[in-house]
Amino acid sequence: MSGLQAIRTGTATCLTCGMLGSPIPKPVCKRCGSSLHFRKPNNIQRTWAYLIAAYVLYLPANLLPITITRSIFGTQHDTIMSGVVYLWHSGSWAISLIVFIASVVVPLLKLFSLTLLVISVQRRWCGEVMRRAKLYRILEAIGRWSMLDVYVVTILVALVRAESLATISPGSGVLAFAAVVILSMLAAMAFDPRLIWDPLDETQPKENVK
Amino acid sequence: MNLGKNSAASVTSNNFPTGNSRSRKELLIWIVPALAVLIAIGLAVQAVLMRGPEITIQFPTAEGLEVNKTKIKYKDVEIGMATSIALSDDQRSVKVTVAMAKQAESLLVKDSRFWIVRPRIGAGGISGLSTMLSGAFISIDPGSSHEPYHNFIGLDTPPLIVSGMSGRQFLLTADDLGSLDIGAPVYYRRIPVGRVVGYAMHPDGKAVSVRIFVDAPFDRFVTTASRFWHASGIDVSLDSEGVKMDIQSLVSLAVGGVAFTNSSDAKDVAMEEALAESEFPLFNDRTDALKVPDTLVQKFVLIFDESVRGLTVGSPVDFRGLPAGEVSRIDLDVRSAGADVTMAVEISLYPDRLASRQRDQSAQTQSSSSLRQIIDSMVVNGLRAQLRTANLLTGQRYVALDFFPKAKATQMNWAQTIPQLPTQAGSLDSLQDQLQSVVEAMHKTLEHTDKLVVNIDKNVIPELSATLIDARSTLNQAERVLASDSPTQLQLRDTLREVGRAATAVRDLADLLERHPQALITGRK
Repeated sequence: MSGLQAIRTGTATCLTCGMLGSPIPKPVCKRCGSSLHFRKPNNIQRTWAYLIAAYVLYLPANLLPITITRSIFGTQHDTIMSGVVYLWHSGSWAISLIVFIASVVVPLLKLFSLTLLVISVQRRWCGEVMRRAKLYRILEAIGRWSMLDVYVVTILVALVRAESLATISPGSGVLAFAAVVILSMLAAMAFDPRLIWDPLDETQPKENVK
Repeated sequence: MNLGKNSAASVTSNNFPTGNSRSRKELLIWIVPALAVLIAIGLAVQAVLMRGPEITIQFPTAEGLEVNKTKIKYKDVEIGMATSIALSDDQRSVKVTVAMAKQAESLLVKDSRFWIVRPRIGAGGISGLSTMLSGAFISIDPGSSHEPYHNFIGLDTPPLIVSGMSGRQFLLTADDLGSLDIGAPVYYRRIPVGRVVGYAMHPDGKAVSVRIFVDAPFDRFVTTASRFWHASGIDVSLDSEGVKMDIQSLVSLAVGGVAFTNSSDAKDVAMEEALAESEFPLFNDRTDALKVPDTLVQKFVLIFDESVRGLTVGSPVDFRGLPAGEVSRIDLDVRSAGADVTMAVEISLYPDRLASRQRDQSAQTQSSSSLRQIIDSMVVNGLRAQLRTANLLTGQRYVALDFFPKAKATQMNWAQTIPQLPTQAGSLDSLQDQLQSVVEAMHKTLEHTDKLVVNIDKNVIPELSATLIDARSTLNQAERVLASDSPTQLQLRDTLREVGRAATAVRDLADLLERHPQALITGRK
């Protein structure tokens, strides 16, 4: 890929104010005082850490109840999937699909794609660079929408407070789900997309590298 | 392309210096996944630990049950959830698979019972109303056994006694079930203290045993002297004592019931609490129940010439106002080619009741021979049985035993299988007979009177009229004699005047003599 890499000139872009500067000897932006790195420090390791945590918590997020409805009809525990199944059976296929995609598929896809990106960087793949970049952009964009479920539960819990008639309280699944979403967002943030292009340059003969 | 296996970290630290060397601080990030793993493992372990045994329960029907909705509750605590509902292998019942909670493991023993709680309107009222909204649930009554068990057969109806209910069960033996049903209340002093929990036919089919449960603390009122009776519905009895109506309660009116009390006769007898599973007779009504138990029964046959209308089996036998027994059988007694039809009434006499006051001693020691002696002497003294009307309105009759000193002397014949007690024609019947004879006599008298009148008509009246004519002429003559201008009258007047003068002369003489008595001798001076 053509173009000059900042790292090759011994400079790095400040992620806060965008100023080019040298992180050596002090990794601090001269203009705004933010920390300045050629690449985000430890980013692969951190991404992995967040990813693994997210993967682990994905299971309880889907298995544990996200809402506990206590009404005069009895107590009902609902998981995300039971909600999807209920909506599907009651005929609301569209809503059922939306919930399924937003709450089950998207977080999983996010985790998978991030995993793919990290592995590709680690293995220093050179192909499909543009697609991987695009994937990262989509990842960043849809990340916040995954919290939809948590918002819905929060609103339900706040709204349905008819005491003895019906109350909804959040189940522990919501915590796990929120943790998954936050962890995947953190993982996406920890990931340094610049690493996608690094292997391209490395294939060329190294010059001016300290 | 470099496809080396260098880690990304080494890439960044070696090829792309970051300014920060890899430090312990950076390892801290691995705490995040470690925590996540810990949480997940914790949840998994908890789930595994919470997971109790899986059991199957067979029910006749799965009405109201839903997979993953129907819960198992014990004391209203959820301890399980139905995970599948399927037909049993023989297609006759429904097999419900239930995932039980770990904590419920100890409840799953061999004699644990399961039933479905649905809204139910039963004898004792309405139950399970809350399940109208929440849906049916399965309830469990843990058994007392220690043998773990996982394949249960559910009950059709909720059990009436669940473990943890303190009280005792008793068995009642009755001739028939009456209107009792399972769940019917048991009353003590009109307070519901228990219920009927079951009934069964005796193996020989001659009686019914009713199982009742009396709740604590009332169960201690069931004593060896307790008497039980049917408190079912309205007890209207129309007997020789008039109309009696007795209703225990509206509930028992609908579903029947059992009442008991402690016999007042037993006050001096030590009242011991009855043991659980004790057997008691179940009487038809309170009166029956409270009768002194008649241990000794002496049967007699009474031969009546008159109609026994109004007398029924069970009619009282009364000894001078004291109930002494009852009629046990009424038969026709056809003797000698049907010419002489009499009524044979068999009575059961309870000689205990006729015994002397020291009932507890003499009655029990009284042998049948001494009883015979007593009866013999009574019969010699005129003891007779008589049919009497107890209630003029209904025509109820009873057998009265009384002394009729003027009765024909007879002897008891104890040789017969059922000895015959001499009878006396009924009071009303004798009255009727007497009335009839009176009427007959009157009739005769009237006939005589009639004859007399005819006689008078024929013979006396003509003579009488002649006599009257004579009398009239006599009177006319008398009138004539007595008229004021008749010569007889004038003569009579003169005579009377003369008599007056004579009287005056006599008075003068008397005066003179009074004043001068000597004039009688000397004469007037």
